[in-house]
Amino acid sequence: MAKYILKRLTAGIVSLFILVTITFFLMHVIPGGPFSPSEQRNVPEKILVQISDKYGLNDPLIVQYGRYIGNLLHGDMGISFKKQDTTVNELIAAGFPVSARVGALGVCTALIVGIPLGIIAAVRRGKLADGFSMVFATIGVSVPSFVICVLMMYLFCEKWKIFPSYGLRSWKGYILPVFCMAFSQIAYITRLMRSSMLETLRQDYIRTERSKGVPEFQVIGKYALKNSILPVVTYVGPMVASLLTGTFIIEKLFSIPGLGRYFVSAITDRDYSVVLGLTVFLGSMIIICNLVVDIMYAVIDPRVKITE
Amino acid sequence: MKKSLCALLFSVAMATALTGCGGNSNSGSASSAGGTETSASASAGTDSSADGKVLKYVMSKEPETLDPNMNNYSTSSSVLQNLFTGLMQVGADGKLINGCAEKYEVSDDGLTYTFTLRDGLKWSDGSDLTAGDFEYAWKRALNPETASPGVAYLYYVKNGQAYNEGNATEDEVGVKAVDDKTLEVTLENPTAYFPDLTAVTVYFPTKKDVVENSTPWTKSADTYVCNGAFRLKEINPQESYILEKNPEYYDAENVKLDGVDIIFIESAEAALSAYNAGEVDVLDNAVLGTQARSQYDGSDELQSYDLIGTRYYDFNCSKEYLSDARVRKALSMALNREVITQTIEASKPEPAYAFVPHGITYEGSDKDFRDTVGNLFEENVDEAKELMAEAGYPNGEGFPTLTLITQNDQEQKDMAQAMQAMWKDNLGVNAEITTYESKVYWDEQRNGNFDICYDGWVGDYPDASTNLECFTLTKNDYQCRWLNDDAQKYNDMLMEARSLADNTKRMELFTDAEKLLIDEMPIIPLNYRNAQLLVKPNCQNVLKTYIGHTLLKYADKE
Repeated sequence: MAKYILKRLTAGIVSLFILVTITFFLMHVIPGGPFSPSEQRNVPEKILVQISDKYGLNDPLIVQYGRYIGNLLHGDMGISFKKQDTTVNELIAAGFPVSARVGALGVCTALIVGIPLGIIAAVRRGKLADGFSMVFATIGVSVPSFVICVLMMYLFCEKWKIFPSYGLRSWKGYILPVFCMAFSQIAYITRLMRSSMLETLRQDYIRTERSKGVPEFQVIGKYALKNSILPVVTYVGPMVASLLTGTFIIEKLFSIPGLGRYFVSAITDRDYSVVLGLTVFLGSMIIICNLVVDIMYAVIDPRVKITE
Repeated sequence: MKKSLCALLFSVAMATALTGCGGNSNSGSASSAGGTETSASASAGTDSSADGKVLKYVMSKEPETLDPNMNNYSTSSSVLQNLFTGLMQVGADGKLINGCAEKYEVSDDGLTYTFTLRDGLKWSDGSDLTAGDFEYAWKRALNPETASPGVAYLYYVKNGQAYNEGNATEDEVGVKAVDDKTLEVTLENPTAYFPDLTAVTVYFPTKKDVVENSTPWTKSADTYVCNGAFRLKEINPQESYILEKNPEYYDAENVKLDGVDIIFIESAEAALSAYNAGEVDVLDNAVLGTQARSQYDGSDELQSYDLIGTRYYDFNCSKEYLSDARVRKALSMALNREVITQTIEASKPEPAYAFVPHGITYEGSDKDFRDTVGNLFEENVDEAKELMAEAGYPNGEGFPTLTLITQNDQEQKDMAQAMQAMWKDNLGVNAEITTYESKVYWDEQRNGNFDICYDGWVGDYPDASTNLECFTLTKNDYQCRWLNDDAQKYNDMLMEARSLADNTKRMELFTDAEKLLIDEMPIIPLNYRNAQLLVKPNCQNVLKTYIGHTLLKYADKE
């Protein structure tokens, strides 16, 4: 097991390295730069050169790349070009806990609501409960999250004044962002859970259990659930990684000081070090989450053997 | 059995749903006690009476920097103008008044300014503020190692540019603290608007031991020392800056607010929702979306301020078919600016029939530059048609399809489409619209991949040179490519004006230069720029300067 984890981690580091390399060069290929003379025309070009020098942007790309990798190995992800005197490490250290808090609540809500809804829909297939969850699930999957966000904000913040329109100053501030974040995930998990549960319930061993007179509750909860939850677990890995690191739309709309907003703004600003820093961070999160998921498989399903 | 399972699962689901509802209904009842419009604002009132008068001001994003000497951004300036006061400052009526300087004297040649500071000036930490702090700050910004993006504002100071480019020593820079209260400044050229410049953030003083001992000093309220109406109490990155009244400010008795909460809300929808719900008091121009502007259209709460800037389009004069001034004039005259500015642009700015905007002074006249000189061209479709015919393109025949480039922004795209239709209908000229993401856009412009491109400028000080110098030869190289003999003549007039101390002569040169510019029409002036604020009726005297920075030091809240 330890050997397996070690192997996976090594592979993860190699993928990260490839990821950083590709992102680094792709980013410099995009037209425009962080200090573009045509955009900042009230800044004389000589000064832009001075500033670029300060950030080492005038060196050959390969030198910049070498320096970046060197610093990265020391855990230093550089300084932001846009926000003066701020290191990328600081940005992540300040933003990640906030995003993670909202994200973790979102993940929990999605699982706590999504899994039972999926089970109910499967067990009561064709009945009212099934219809209800499927309608909900279809809405959740098809309505874009910004529409939900704007609608929720209009109703709960502006019209009824129940929740604040911005920030996370009290527990009230968490409710709408968490709900909006979980909404489409709930829908997806419900559908996933339902189809997988339906599949499992058709299996011979379920019939065997039932014919033995095992209580239905136990059949579903003990035997069917364990087998049917695997696809959900697979889906949850990347979902956790992306929700924990923040969602752009939710963070922008609800003014949450997390990481998610940088994913887009850093690219528009050509803030190279922030783009790279976030890529590395999100990349590592995904690698770790996927590893955890693979280990979970083995725990849930004894047929899955982790090969040493 | 089956039923009991379902019942159980359902009850789990219901319980989860109910806890959610429970939360809702609790808070629902809590706020239904204060749910209506009046009681919501009443509860906001209790809030502010507990902490005193605190104004909640919404900006779209966090400032790039809080270091005034490193600043070249308007977002940052809107915050810094309230934390610092320069030698001079913009007053409550938008005009320049004395700041830290009690008075100043100008030598006869216009080259030496001697500022005398007020008595008893203090930093926000209680220590004395002296003329030496100004000298330190300016030299710090000019130091090439500082690499300040705003340094060009200091090039007016003698040897400022030379020092910044490594061709002079620090001691040769023309700023000197004669004693604690006297600052002597020598300039490169006589500069009538130099006092206006001292209200720009790069000219603000910074405290040497603070800057040097706690790097970076701008990251925490504990190390942040300023000299303005407010001081920093808290920095919550990406979320809010909490400002409190600075008791050490020389004019503290006239600062009515006890504090300002600057809140960063990026989304226009969220900002409007917060404003409508009474959670905040003032929305900045940058967070005002089309929705907010139309909802409050005609209301006293939506306040408009003229900026000293112009929105225009560049022609690419290096293209053979655009090298003829008659063609450029025809294209400019065939537009209907009233329609574009009043129906497409949400802020409804004033159409421009010249280049220099309102609010620029004309020395020796009571009126501003624009009103003194008047409009310089008219829209006239018939005349435009004749000009096209004279240039060899009657009814647009034989004229190539123009490439009009704009940024990827809904309003800009709408404006481009309106112009496209007007040219087609009025002149028979076809245009194609290409949109780019903003960073790419400026590169395309610089590389000359356009026939006509969207552009704009807001000046830095209320003198016509700030606007007219947009079209010096070096700048034209990368923008409108207007490089013929007239462009040379235009350039010469501006350079001559730079060196003069005689204001009458300068104004004449500016008038002639602008006439030449409009006669040659290397650009299409579209409208003068404005900025808006959405301000709750219980807040007064929140204002935007002519550059577009928000001033809160004169504001009050009931």
